[in-house]
Amino acid sequence: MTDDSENQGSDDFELPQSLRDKLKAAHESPPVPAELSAHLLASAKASYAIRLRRRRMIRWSALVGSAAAIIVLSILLLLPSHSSRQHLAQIGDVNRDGRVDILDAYVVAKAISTGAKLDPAWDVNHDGIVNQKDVDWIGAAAVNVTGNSNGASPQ
Amino acid sequence: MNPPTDRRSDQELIAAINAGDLSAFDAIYERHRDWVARLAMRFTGNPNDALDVLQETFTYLFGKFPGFLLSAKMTTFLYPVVRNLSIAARKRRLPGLPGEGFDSPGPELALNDDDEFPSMIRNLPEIQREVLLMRFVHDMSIAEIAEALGIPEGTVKSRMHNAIETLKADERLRKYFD
Repeated sequence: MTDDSENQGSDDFELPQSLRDKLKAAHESPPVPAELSAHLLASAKASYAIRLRRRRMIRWSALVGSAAAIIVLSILLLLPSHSSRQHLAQIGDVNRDGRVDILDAYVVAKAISTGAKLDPAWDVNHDGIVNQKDVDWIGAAAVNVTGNSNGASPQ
Repeated sequence: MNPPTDRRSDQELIAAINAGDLSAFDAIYERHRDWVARLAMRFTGNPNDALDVLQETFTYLFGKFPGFLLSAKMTTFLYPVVRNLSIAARKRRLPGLPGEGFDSPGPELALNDDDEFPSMIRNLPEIQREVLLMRFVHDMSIAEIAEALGIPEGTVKSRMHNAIETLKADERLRKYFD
């Protein structure tokens, strides 16, 4: 009856053909009206088309959603965070005007030369002491010799 | 009824339907329609119920697409479906019937039956009759029968052997074996 007909007859059990025929005749298949078949197939195909469309829509939605999520994540990862920028801006920004420039170096240099109180935060090279080296460090950051305007590493 | 013309295997047809080929529905249906109808007729014993079961069986099968994967032979997959739907159909028509053990011909077939042959088959123990009919009426292999019934192949063979021996021992069937 199907593509597996080659498997039939491989079993050892046999009945005489006449008995087989008799058995089959006693279990006739009822005639299947053509209208029933046509209706069944048409309805199955229509339902299938709807399910297929819905599935494709879900798949596309998932794909678009994933792509959007990846894009948003990438943007978030690529943009430096606010706190990170703030931290970098603070290094060498002695007068806290949001940038490192020669005025910051001047404030530190003047405080050292006048013997004014030195803020430990001005120890921008982290050698434990606020001195001329810190002034040089801020000056180098101010002229942006490495292209880093935040002055994170003037070397 | 036209003979099935599509040469693709069941697996290929299923893959085609999953890929959106609607014509494969017709091929699958044409190939298994009569097998399902005959089996449903045997279980329900009523042509109308059998046609209902036929529709429900294919609606169930086609409802599994897209994404249906066939891990066994199609007949192995369909057999328990037809059987369970037939039980439900007969329960609907004859509410007092027990759910299991109904695999004798239905009442209408029995009433119209004036040939003693079916009664000889009917007198076989149900577990023997079942495998005999699956093999020689529904053309299922021993392996398919075992899988459809969820029993070892050895058990199927043993039941088959006993069924055939019982038939051979029946005087009324002697002419078939001589």
